[in-house]
Amino acid sequence: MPEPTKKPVKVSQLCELCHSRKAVMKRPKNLQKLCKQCFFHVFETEIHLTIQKEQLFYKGERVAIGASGGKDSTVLASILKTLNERYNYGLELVLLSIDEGIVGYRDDSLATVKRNQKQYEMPLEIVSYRDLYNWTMDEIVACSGIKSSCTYCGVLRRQALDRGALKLGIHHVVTGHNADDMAETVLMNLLRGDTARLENSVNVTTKSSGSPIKRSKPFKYTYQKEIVLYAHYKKLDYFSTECTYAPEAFRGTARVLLKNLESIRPSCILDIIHSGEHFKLKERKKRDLAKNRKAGKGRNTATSAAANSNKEVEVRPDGSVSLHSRDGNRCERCGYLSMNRVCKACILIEGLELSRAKVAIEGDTSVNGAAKLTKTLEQLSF
Amino acid sequence: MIVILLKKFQKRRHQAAHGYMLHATGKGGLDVIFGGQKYATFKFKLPTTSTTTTTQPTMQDLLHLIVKNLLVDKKDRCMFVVPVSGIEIDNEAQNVENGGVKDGVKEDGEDGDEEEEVTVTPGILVLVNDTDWELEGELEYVLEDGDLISFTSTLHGG
Ligand SMILES: [Zn+2]
Ligand SMILES: [Zn+2]
Repeated sequence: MPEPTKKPVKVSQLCELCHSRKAVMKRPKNLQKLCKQCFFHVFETEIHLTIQKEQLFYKGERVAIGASGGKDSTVLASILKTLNERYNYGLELVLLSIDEGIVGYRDDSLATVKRNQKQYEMPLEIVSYRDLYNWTMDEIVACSGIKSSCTYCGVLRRQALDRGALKLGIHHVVTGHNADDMAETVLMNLLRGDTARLENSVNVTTKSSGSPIKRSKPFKYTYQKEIVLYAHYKKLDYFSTECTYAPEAFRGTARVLLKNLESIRPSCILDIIHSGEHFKLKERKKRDLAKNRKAGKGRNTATSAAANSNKEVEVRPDGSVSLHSRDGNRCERCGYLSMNRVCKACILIEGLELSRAKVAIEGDTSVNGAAKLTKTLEQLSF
Repeated sequence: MIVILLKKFQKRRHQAAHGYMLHATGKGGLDVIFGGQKYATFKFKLPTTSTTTTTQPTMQDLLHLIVKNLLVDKKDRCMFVVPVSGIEIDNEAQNVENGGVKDGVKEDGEDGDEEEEVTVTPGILVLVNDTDWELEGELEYVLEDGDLISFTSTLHGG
């Protein structure tokens, strides 16, 4: 591709910071027009200030970057490397990737992460759903349908990241969630009436009590548009294909709504986060909460049973129910740290195993006596 | 991501009737956008809308052209907001071979059919010669020879 042609620059086109170079972008946050160099400077400095203000890291800390090969996590890896060197954070950075097992999507994006490993000179660890759960996302979708794919993936990825980090002996995972993602989360919790999550959904750092892993989002106040522009102008090597499995219709619609609002009033993204930060729930009786929870999630039998068996119940910001006496407990099935008897991932997988057995029976056309009996017994045992 | 390079050309006989050659490239997840083609060259006369006083074609004209002729599949058009009444899709465009030059200057919009505003879906980043189109007048931007225009989705894939 030939280079774009140069045109004479008018004064009104100049950067509003240095007043000497042509502005190339308009910040959604404050509508300021900046040149490439000033944009880089402002972008990097703002993230450094967030890291400093929130005291995200300590010197010598080992930090895993949740790397998907996409633009957000690629920019995160690039910028953490830059800032770590510039401001002497003294961090030891590691790339941590999840292989969900989505043919065609994850193969290419993992190739991108492997190139990033060389470009940023960071060690890379890949953990796969297949190894952890004995299921790939493709199999999950084939079994449970495409509608709930994001729900499954979200729960499984969260635990996969934790386990990958623990495997490396790392207790801090940073992810590329940006301001647009945060605003979407607030909006979704609001739309679903999920007040338990609403209160803490916008924290820069989250750590479920009992969990050994801290999670941070250094891009909490960073607009998606600026991340894309930064990746583009810095010519970063990222993978731009969207996941094969689109978000569920409700979330997708909320996302479109948010984008439409942003195009009319760009500051609304930060305004929603600001609102999220100031939601404070009225104190409620703990038992009431547990009762509501139970009514709302009747199908979650394991959780309900656990809630019944213990009167000291607290609902966590992430929606799980915790039992104080069992704090720091491990999941009965997989041994992973969990507030409940059975962790969320195991509950999902259990549901899947059930339907896999069912599918196997329905799909069996040659009804062999012995085989049929075995399968019927298998089904009964669940 | 769609990248479009504009090249001016002149018809030999009518010096006034100039047009633009469009080199369109699809990259990443949006390469399905031209009905599965990754690269295509189109030769079109860019019509000018009646709303603009200038005779120079604008970004609005380019978007019209893309929606009308390049995006053959309905789902490919998710990057663009098309008015409710819609724009008829030119079936001829489907026959363009991969990388082939489509010849014959189109004389669209000359027999008085109203041109409605086509714009870009919120969340799609438009760069004109590497500059945010918000700084270039967006739909009113006057196209120039050699312009490099890209459409990138900022929607997920993080
Ligand atoms: Zn500047
Ligand atoms: Zn478990």
